[in-house]
Amino acid sequence: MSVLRRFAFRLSAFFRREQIEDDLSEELRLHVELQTESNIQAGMKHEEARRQALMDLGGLDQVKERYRDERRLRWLEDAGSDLRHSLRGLMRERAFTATVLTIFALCVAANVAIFSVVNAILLKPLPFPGAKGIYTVYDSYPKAGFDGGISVPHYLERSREVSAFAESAAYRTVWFAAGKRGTIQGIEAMATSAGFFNLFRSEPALGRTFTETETVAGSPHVVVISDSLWRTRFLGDPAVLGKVLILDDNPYTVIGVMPASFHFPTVHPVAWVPLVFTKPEQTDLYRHAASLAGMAVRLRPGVTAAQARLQLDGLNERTLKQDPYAKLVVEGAGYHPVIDGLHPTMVARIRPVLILLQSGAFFLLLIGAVNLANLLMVRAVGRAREYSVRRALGAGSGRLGRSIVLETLLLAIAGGVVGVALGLTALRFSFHFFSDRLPFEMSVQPDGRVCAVSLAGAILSGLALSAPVAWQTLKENLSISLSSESRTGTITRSVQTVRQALIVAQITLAFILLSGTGLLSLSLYKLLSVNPGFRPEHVLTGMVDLPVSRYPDAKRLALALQISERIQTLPAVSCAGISTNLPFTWNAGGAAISFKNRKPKPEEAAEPHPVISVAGNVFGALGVPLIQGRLLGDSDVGVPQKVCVVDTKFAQRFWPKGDALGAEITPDSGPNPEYYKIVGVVGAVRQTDLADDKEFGTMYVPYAGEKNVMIALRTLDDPVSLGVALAKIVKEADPDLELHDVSLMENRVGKSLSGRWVAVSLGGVFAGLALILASIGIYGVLAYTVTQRRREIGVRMALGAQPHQILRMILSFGARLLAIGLPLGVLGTLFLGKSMGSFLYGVRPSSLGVFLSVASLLSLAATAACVIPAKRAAKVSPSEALRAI
Amino acid sequence: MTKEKAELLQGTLDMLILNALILEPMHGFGLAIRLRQMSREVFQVEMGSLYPALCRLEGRGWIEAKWGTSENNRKARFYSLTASGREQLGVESARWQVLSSTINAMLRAT
Repeated sequence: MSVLRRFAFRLSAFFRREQIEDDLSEELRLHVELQTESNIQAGMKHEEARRQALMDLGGLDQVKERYRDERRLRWLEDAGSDLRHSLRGLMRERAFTATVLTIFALCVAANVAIFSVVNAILLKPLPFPGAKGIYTVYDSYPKAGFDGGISVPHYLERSREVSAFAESAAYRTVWFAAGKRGTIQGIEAMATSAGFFNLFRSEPALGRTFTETETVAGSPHVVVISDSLWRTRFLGDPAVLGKVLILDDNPYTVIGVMPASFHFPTVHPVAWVPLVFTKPEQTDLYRHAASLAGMAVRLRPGVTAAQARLQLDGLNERTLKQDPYAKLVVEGAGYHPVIDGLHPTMVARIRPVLILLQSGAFFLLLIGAVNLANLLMVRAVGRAREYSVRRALGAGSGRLGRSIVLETLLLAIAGGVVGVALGLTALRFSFHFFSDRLPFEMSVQPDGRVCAVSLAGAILSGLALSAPVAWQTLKENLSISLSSESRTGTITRSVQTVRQALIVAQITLAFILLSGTGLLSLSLYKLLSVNPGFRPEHVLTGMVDLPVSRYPDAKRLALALQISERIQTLPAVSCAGISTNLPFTWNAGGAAISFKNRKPKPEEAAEPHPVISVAGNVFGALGVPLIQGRLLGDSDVGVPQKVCVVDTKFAQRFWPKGDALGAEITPDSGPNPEYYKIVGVVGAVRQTDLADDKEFGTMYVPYAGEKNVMIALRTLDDPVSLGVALAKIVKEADPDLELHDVSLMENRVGKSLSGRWVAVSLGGVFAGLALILASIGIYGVLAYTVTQRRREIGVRMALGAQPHQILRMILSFGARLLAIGLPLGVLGTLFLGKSMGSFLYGVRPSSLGVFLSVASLLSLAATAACVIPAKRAAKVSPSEALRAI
Repeated sequence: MTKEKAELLQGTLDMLILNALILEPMHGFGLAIRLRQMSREVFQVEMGSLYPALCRLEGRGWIEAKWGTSENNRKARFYSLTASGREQLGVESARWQVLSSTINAMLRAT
């Protein structure tokens, strides 16, 4: 209590300083007057009486000062004056302040931007209550290169028999033509089992979700719609429940509306319908038809993932006994079920990129911090005399240390604030790169916690950075810097060593960052020059969905062929055709191929081969070369002898001697398949990923009325102008058809590399900054060293040293730092490069070329940074150096 | 000068000031005279310590300061004892009694 009271007493004084000073002066004046009078009465002369009175008091100012000590909050006032002093100093040294702030802000900004994304995607739990307990179960066929998805029999068995699963739900993606004739709109929807919404603990905003009975075949059609569909199609009508939504020409009754916050697994599905299994789907023959996109489970409380995995494997052992394909899939494809956390599975693809970028940003931060430490230390040396004087005038170590920390903190806070603002701005601009590959709603929004963490980090690094500066300053010998009349202060050997170590650290870190970026760029360069197997230039593509229910198979076939014919007659089109799967649209998946008169080896039989239906001249449009035989033509449609074309990869895999023509194959694994006779071999095409050369070969069959049709046309000149004409042809074929996803083939290919472009360009920015920072660091230290050694250099020159010898001496100092830093950098890159494996294409982490170029780049930058101070040293005039300095 | 000694002196001065103020409010110079009289001129209160000490006591809430007029009509700051100051004086003098009698006893013992 009394402590508080005293504090309040002193604090009040802090704000009424002038009043108190006046009072004190008045009081003391009276004292002196009264004392003087009493002295006069005692017989002294006036002058003498006053002098005696003052002496008696012990000096007016001295009393005042002691009084102030009692009265005031010394530390608060000191902090205030330190703050003012620091601010004045920083304002005066604008170049220094600006440099430090820029470095700090850039490093913080890079980390804020990347960390916001990392936090939103990797760290924050999924936006469902109890999301940690949600797992996903899928079938994996590693040897066949196929992962994810699950078959209906497996889903049903596992949800029934694995007791570790408290709840389970299955889902598959479906596309619908929504609306009545004239207002048709293609939508992505999801067919889900009844427990789906409950598993995510998500309640509809309006109405209800499915019941078990609604997932039985033949029950009335119901649909749950998303908030966005409700707002666009039903204009947010609160009485939407019970209304009808037409999907693929069937009426569905709207029974619920999900809130806008519900998204799974992406933002794209806008409607949910009950998942209904057909009878055949549930038989053993369909055990490995991964027709469901996924199975989500919630573990029973207290059950671990390892226990669930054990049960799942046990069940799998049992079911394999009745699995007709058991031998084939286990031996040939390495089949096994997998259970994994839902969150890690969903972010598995984007995770490595994010970690790579975050490490890059973190390295930049390290380099920046090292550089700042160095800059601050150099500056502190320049101010050694100021500190010495302050010390000589009575400032204690504590006070000096405090003012150094305060100054660094000021810089750190200012730099941190600017950096956070800069980072958030950068995030807003770079957001759309991440947004379309986010598995979630995961809007990467400015997050208060991220900002707080970043600012706290900035302040902490400010404290950390002030430590070496304070250490160096306080270590300084007062008498030396005061007495050496000419020099601006000296530093001890240990300080010099620390600073050189910092430079070496900087070179090492910059080397790692530069070579990491170099490896990424080289990979991208190699990928850009990969031949995708077709010529994407001058090719326009688009998609049309033909609703299943409205058109019987024959009608769809006729409609598609009509479109295919019409587009070939467009002026300026050289070749055109349709296909069910163009390269770089989406992953076609694949089917196992069976051969007539040939029993495949187990590992062959499980390989997934894309089976693509084509009509018109798609090969011509894409620029896929014909190698052998003939292409498919319109005359091949609807004839009894089915024919097909395979690509060279397929042909070489199974007929290495080149006698593929005439062989009969089928993608149908049923009991009585129809065989397709191979009539031609075309060039192999990379279907989804330029870096992926593990594709197994493709089979092309004549178009037979499939629902999804993609159009490709090769033009003589600019293909963009043909988009309108293409849309018109589609509308003329049927007014309800809609051409969508119109895009240049080049853009589709380019988009598949966008992740790499981001990594390379951000890496480039980081590496460039690192290079600049390292150069600044080297320059700073060398420039200072030269100033320090002027007298020594002067002596050397007076004794006959030539300017070029001095030049060499300074340059060799820089070279020595490089000679330590570069090998360390190589070691670091070798160590960290292993983790970059999945990003590298056509280069090894130990690429000598990259090491050599990075080393020479760094050496060049370092030499440039050395030359200016070295030249200055060589110009030192001996007489001047010895006399004045 | 060691710390304990300073402490003791300081504590003693505080107690003497509180004791001097027990009869009536006084201004700084008056207090100085009174302290000198009370100590029978044996020791002289250092004036340089008086005002900081007054400030300290005020800060602890043992005395109060008010501007008033002195006997010969001059503006002066008068200090008076507060209730808690009176209490403190009791505590201090009791402690002093104990301390001095103990020291006396020790001196006699040797």
